[in-house]
Amino acid sequence: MKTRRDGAFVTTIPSVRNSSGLRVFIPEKGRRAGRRWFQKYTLHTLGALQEVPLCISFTGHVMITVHFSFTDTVLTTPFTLPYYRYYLRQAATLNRTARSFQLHADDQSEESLPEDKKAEFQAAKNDEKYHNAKLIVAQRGGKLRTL
Amino acid sequence: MNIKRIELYDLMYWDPSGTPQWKPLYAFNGTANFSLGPGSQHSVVLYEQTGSGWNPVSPYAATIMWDYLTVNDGSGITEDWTIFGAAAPLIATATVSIRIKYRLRVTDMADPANVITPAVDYFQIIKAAYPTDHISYSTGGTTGPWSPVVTVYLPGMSTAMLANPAALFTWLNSVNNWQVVWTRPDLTTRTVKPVSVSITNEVSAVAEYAGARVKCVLTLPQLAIGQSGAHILQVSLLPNDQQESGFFDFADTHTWTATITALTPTIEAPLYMSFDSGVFMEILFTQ
Repeated sequence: MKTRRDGAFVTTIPSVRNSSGLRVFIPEKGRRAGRRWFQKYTLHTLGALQEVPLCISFTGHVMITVHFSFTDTVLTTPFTLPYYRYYLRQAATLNRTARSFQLHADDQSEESLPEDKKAEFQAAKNDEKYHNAKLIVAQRGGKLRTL
Repeated sequence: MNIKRIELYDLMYWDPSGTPQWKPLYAFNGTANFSLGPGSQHSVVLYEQTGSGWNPVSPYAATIMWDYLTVNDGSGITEDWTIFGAAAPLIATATVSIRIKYRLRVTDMADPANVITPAVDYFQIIKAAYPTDHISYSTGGTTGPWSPVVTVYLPGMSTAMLANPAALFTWLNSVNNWQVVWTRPDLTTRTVKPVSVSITNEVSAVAEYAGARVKCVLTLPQLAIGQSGAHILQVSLLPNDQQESGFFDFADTHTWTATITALTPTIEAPLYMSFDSGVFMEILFTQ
C-alpha cells in the first residue's frame, strides 16, 4: 500500500502489532471480478560463478559461461521480522551474497484480468514501478533494520 | 528475478618483465587509456539488460574479444575498447601467453543496488603460445605393440602468480579433453584417449610460455603395431574455451618407422592318417 512519508508516497507493507507487541506484516489481498488476489513478497537470493576457473585460448577471444544459483521464497501470509530473518539465514548458509526483498509489481490482481485486459494492464506498467517498491524493511550488509 | 548486468571488474594482467607481478589492465577507447583494475570505475560488460533481463535459470555464455570490449565507465556503456596497443600501459599486440585475472559482478534487476560480487578470482590465458617442439614422445613401437607416453607443454601458471596453480588445471586431468590420432602406414586412423593424465606446473624461461608452463603427461593405451612402415601420432586438446570448435590439433606430431616381423605357420604334411583316435603333428613357422 502507499503511505505518505516526508512528503512523498512510498510503498509499504501494512503491519500491525499483535497482542504480544510483535509487529506482523500483512500482505494485502482483495477480490476483483469475483476472483481473489493477494500481494506477493519475494525474498530473492542469487549467486553466480564462472564455469571454469581458468580458460586457455590460443587466440585473443575467449568464451566463458556464467552459472547462476538462486532461490525465491514467496511470502503470501502474514509474517514477522524474525520469520523474515529466518529465511535470510537460510540464504546465508547457501553463501549467496545477494539478497533482495521484492514487492511484485505484477501482483496477483493481474491474474484475475481477462486476457485482453491483461495485455493492456501490462502495457501500462513501467520499470520504474518495479524498482520503487521501498519496503518497511531494508537490508544493509545482511542486517535488517526497519525504516 | 532477472539479471540486469554481468560484468568483469578488478582486471589485472601478469607482466613478466622487470619484476614479474600482477598489474592493472588498461584499455583504450580510441581516445585515451583507462584502467580496468582494482579501484577503477571501469568494468568490462558481458551482458546489459535487454527487455526483461536475463533469467538466471539459464547460464549465460559470453564471448570476450579482448581487442573489442564493451566497457562500463560508471556513467555509460561504450564499445570498441581494446587492451592492445603500441605503448604501455597497453599490452603489445605481439605479446603471447597473456595471463589475465578478474572478478565477476552481477546486478539484480529487481534492485540495481543489489550487486553480487563473489570473492573469487578467475583467470584466462589468451593468445596461448608454445614452441614448435613442445611435445615429446617416449620411444618404442618399432617392432611390436607399444604404450606411448606423451609429454605436452602448454603455458601455465606459477606459484608466483597464485598460491595453488594446480587447482586451475584440473580440467586438463580429464582424459576426455585429450585425444591422440594414430595414423598407420596404410593411412587408416584410429583415435585413442589417454588412460591417465598427470599435470605439473613449473617455471619456464622459454619466451612463448611467458614465465610458466604446465606439463601434461599422457599415458596412452597399448597400440597394436601390426604394420611395417611409417606411423604418425598427433595430439589434440579440447580447450575449455569453447570459442574453438572441437579439438585443437597440435602440429608437433611424432613419426616413427616400424618393422614388423610376420610369421607364416605351416603344417608339414597336408594329410595325416592315424589308426587310433589320436594324431600328432608339428606346426612350423617361417619368417
